[in-house]
Amino acid sequence: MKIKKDTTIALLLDELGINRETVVVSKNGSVAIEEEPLEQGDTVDIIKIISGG
Amino acid sequence: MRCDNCDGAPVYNRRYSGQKFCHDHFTEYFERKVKKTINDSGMIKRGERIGVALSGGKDSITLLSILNKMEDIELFAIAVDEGIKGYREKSLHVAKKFCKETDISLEIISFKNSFGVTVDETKDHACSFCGVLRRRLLNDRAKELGLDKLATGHNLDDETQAIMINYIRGDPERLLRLSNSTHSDKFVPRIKPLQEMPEKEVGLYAVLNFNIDFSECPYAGDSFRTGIRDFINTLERDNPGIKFSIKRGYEKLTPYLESYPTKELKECPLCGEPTSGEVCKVCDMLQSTKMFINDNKNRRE
Ligand code: SF4
Ligand SMILES: [Zn+2]
Ligand SMILES: [Zn+2]
Repeated sequence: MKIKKDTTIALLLDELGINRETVVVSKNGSVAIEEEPLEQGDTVDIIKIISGG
Repeated sequence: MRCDNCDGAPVYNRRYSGQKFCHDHFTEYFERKVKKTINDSGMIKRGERIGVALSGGKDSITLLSILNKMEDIELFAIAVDEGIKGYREKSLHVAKKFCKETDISLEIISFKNSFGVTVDETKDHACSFCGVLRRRLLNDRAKELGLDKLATGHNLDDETQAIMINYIRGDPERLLRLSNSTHSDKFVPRIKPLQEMPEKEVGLYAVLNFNIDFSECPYAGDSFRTGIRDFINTLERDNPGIKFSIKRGYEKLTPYLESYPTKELKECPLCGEPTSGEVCKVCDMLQSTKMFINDNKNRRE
């Protein structure tokens, strides 16, 4: 997807309607904090860690 | 951005304390805090035989792995196969693999063999059936093995959800039962070493240290608990630390809850286990589920 300028993982999650308390995010293959800035071309993986059962 | 303790790249921003951690320092912090929870509360004593309820999910694998680093305790992993097709096979595979690699004894007990029924056969009330029967099965096995304690992977989120649910339902007896397991020689005491760890931290620890399958149980859908979970997570996102605040508030209340009159326990006429009603929940659910299955069978025949 296309991302805005000066964005971060936290802002991306907000945009996707995902609560940061429920996921672990990695950027370009390494786990990163939500304050990490993002640039066009970065690969972001969002792992949903909250599950029932 | 850097880790607060070294030059490493941060993997976690603990917003409720304003600290950033790299992979190694996060792992160190996490393990230290779990051990501190165990030591401060005297949950586990030297030489004890500890059962660990292992599902193969992030919580129980994390729990077992940290307990395995403690000296002077004997560990027995017990996994329950509730009979949930397409879901439990995967997590049991993780459980088996983990125990093999760490040389921890693992026993798998199934609903089918013990009760003759699987969760898949129950249809609508899967979760309450599943929870009640699993609890009984684990307790029975822990008693047979002569274990001192039964450890479960409940994390801070599980605790705060249970607290809120019981507040909202106005159920002081259940609220009290969250913190002290029923006093009876029929129950192996339960301990929850991860109760001070937010689910996000447990998830992160598991992502960093193990190869976990994060898929969700098909029955975990939209229950009341899911609504409470989302509500608390929204509060936490906007007010970091609120989960601890819910738990601390609850802990301040428990001494007063202890004076709440609890129902006298009787023996279930069918299985002999303690119950506050006529027939215990396990026997009640088994009866109605088997009736439901037979009805369906008869209709088909
Ligand atoms: S979500 Fe419900 S049915 Fe699935 S494992 Fe948990 S309690 Fe059992
Ligand atoms: Zn560090
Ligand atoms: Zn009974």
